[in-house]
Amino acid sequence: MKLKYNYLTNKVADSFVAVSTDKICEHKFIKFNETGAFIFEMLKSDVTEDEIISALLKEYEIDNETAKDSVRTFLKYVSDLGIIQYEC
Amino acid sequence: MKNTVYSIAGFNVEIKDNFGGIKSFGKKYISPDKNADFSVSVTKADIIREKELCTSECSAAYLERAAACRKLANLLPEKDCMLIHGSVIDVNGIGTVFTAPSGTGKTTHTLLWKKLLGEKLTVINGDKPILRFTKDGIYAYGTPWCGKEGFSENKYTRLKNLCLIKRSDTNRVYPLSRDEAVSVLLNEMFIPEDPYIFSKSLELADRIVSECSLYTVECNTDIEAAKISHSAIYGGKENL
Repeated sequence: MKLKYNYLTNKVADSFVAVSTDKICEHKFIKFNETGAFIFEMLKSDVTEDEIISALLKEYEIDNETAKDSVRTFLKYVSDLGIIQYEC
Repeated sequence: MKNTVYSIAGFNVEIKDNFGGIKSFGKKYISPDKNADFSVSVTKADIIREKELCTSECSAAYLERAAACRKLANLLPEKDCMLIHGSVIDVNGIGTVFTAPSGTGKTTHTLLWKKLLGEKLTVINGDKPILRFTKDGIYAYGTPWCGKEGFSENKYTRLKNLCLIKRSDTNRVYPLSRDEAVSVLLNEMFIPEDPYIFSKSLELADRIVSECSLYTVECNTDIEAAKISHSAIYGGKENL
């Protein structure tokens, strides 16, 4: 899976704001935290859920369950926004 | 088609009055300098577009003012400025912006402060001030776009405080988290159409969060609300 649109990611204070550069994208911007920004960055290329979980485990000192939960919650969030494509 | 140069946020802006809406800016915004830093002109297409965004029946003059505001706001981030939705007040050279979604009570709270402080307080702008970001700090300027109360001074203040106004039965002031402040700014700052210019605005938003004291002001409509928030924000330094 990967992002359907192109984004510029900006750090604002401790948050991250991704701004779509594609006019057809319905959501002009999305705000998320640092973990969200890490996952969002990975979604710029074609990637699987398991690959994101592994990368998250390498990057942060968290257990498997926490990583899975974080990834699933974030993927549901961006998927509900309609900005993910599953067939790449 | 008369072109007048206006002094807005320290810039000389030539604004073409094509539909009779701009002349209402009044004398206090007319610049003595005839050389403009840049110019803004509203076209028929802009008016049509603005009309689509307008929820009620609006005159061409009103739509021209709104469209001119939008056009200017799109140019500002590249000049280290941004338009924000809020009310800016100055007390002893220290500026505070009260922001909140429309209808929350920014104007009501501003009026309570005015009642409390009288001449010691200047309302710089009641609706759409421009923030200018310099090496020395952030300055909030009055603009001709000022809301129905007409609070509009061609003056500026050093912006030190950002306050999110929330309606409540009781009066309470507490810190606004940095994360919440970003959400508030995303709701209340002007969002430029161009994503690269929007990104530039976000750099400026980052400076607001870093350089201003951030407050949540829960308030009712009693004078006590202004007393409590003034004391929390300005430390009660004014002799009331």
